[in-house]
Amino acid sequence: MIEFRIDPRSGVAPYRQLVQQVRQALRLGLLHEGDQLPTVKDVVAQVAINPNTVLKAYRELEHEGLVAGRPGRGTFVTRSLADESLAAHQALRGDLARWLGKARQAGLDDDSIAALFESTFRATADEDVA
Amino acid sequence: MTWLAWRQFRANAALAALATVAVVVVLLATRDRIAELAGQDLPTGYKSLQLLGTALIGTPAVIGAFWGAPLLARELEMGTHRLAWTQSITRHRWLATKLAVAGLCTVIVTAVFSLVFTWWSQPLDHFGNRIGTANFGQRGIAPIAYALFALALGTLAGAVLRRTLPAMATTLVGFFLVRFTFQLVVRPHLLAPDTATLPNNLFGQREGQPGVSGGWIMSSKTVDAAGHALTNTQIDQRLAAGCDARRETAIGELARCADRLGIHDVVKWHPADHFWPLQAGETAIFLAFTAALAVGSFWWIRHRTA
Amino acid sequence: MTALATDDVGKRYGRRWALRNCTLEVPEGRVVGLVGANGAGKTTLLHLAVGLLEPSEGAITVLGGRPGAGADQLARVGFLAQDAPVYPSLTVGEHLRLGRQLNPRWDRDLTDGRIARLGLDLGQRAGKLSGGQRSQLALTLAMGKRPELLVLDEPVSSLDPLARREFLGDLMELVAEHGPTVVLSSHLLSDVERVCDHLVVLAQGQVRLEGPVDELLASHRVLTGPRRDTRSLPSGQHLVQESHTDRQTTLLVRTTEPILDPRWTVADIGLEELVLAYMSRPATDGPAAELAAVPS
Repeated sequence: MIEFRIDPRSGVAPYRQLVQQVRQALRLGLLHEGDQLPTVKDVVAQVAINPNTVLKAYRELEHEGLVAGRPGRGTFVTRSLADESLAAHQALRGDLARWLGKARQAGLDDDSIAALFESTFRATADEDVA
Repeated sequence: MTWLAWRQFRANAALAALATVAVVVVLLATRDRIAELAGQDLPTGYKSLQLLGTALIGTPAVIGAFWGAPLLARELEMGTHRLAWTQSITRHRWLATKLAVAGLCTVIVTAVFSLVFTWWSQPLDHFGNRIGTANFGQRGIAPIAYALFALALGTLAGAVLRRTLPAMATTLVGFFLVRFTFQLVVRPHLLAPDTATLPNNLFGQREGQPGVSGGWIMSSKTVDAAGHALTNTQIDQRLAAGCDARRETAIGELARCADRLGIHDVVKWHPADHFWPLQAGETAIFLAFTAALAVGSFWWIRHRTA
Repeated sequence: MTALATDDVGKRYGRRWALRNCTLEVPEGRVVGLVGANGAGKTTLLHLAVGLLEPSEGAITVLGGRPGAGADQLARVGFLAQDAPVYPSLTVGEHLRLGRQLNPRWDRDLTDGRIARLGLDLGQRAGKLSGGQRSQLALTLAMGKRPELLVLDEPVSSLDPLARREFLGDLMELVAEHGPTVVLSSHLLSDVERVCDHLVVLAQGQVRLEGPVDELLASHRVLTGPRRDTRSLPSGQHLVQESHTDRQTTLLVRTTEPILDPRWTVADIGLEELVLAYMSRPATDGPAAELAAVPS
């Protein structure tokens, strides 16, 4: 079974960290279809975080179609990611590489690129919320 | 809650049982000796009685300080009241149970002490008196009321002061203050004293004769035939004037002369059969104090502490 | 239902107000973090909630009833006081018996199982337990009556990191399984951030900030940019804190709208920074709720 860790200093919200760890485990083949995720109770007993955080993470994973909750039985993996990571992201990866090339040609250094990405990411995320 | 109250009181109860057994054993062992002494050497026997009586005066005070003061003070001091008062019983029920347990043990211990002391002093009762201040408060039912009063006083002191040691000190001081003030100022007047007219005892000629023995003397005056109080100087003058100093020089003759002149004693006293009425009155008053103090404790923990 | 609601509640000791104009509403099922410096009024508020104190003014309602008002109300609320007071001469087992006898609704399986799992010796006197063990015993006693509301006053402040982690883990497990509302006070924001989903910040006896944690974090932004006058902020943005150098202005604003002004660099704020910002605002005499409560 997967074991979770929370890094309070990573700047990433705890529930997102859980989601990422599940996806990473799927990608690496540590979790297969049909495997059960730890119960909310077990996760919080071990990691000492709010149960709602875990619920939120599991809901997000369910929303992404990666897991499904079976009432009274637990939460189970429904799909693996191993094959997805390459195919689905190939096009995006290419776009990103091209954008980075343009940014460097415009004279931006690493920090400026990161800052530009952050602020645009934030702005579009806020627009989604609002 | 009853279980908890007993469990918390366990050490106190054990100590009390031990002390009671010790006292009873000592009294049992010395009873015969006292009876002997009573027959031969009255002063020594009586001294033992008074000594023991004096020691037992402390019993209610000890109960008040060691059982009453820590009852609330200890909990407040250690913060355990925050545990006790957030269980599913009210503070009043909690205190009532604790007081009931301590109160029951108080009644039992003081009753036993009073009974045993009374039994032990019986041989001396013919000669001494049980109504005099040395023994009155350690016999009968009054000690029980004193002890309950001390318990209630200690409990309230503990609630108000919130620290065990100051509460113990306050209880000891407060108890003795009330106890002895009462004995001095109130007890004599609980019942109207009798007035007795006795022949004078100017020359010690009436020593050992029944008169006001076995009673509690409030005041004693030597008066003339008309009832006016006489100072020593005046007595000397009367005797000088009324008795033939040349012929009546022996003690016996002077004494008979004094009698002829009408010099006699007027004594205000509580005779021995006032013992139980006085006990009842004092007990009732101390029980009233106890009730008031206990109510005070209940009120205090409800409205004044956290 | 509301687990805890206060209406302008205040508590005074002599002339000093330990808590004043405190108005908040905590929905049930939350884990609430009560945060503030020592002396800010946290213990006072918690003692009011469990009926150990009576308010000097205002009203407080817990689970729809008056705190401490009778055995039924007391049975619904579990309390763990600061420093986890226990009876030193009573054993662990006797403490469990205390809980059993003084609480009609006692979950024996839960408490006995927990004590066994913690490895506590039933015959050990409570006075001989370590700090962490005492806290765990006290938590067991508080939760054994299966309360709807569990109130904990600085439960982990004096524990080492391992004991702290274990305590919080057990607490979260209880919440996951039985779902009481939990209100715990702490001055350790890292713990609060891990386990709490609702926040109340107290400073100098007044509520400075209150609301669900994720909404609070989502609705605050740190804006950095060239020095400028802050009176020109758009109406949807509320200024919480500002600081200026000769060249630069940094603002903390509360807003639900995106920041569109391109001159600002926008960043999220961490919980600790957010709490500190609200704690360092000057105290107001009137209700501080105007900016404190985040609309949900």
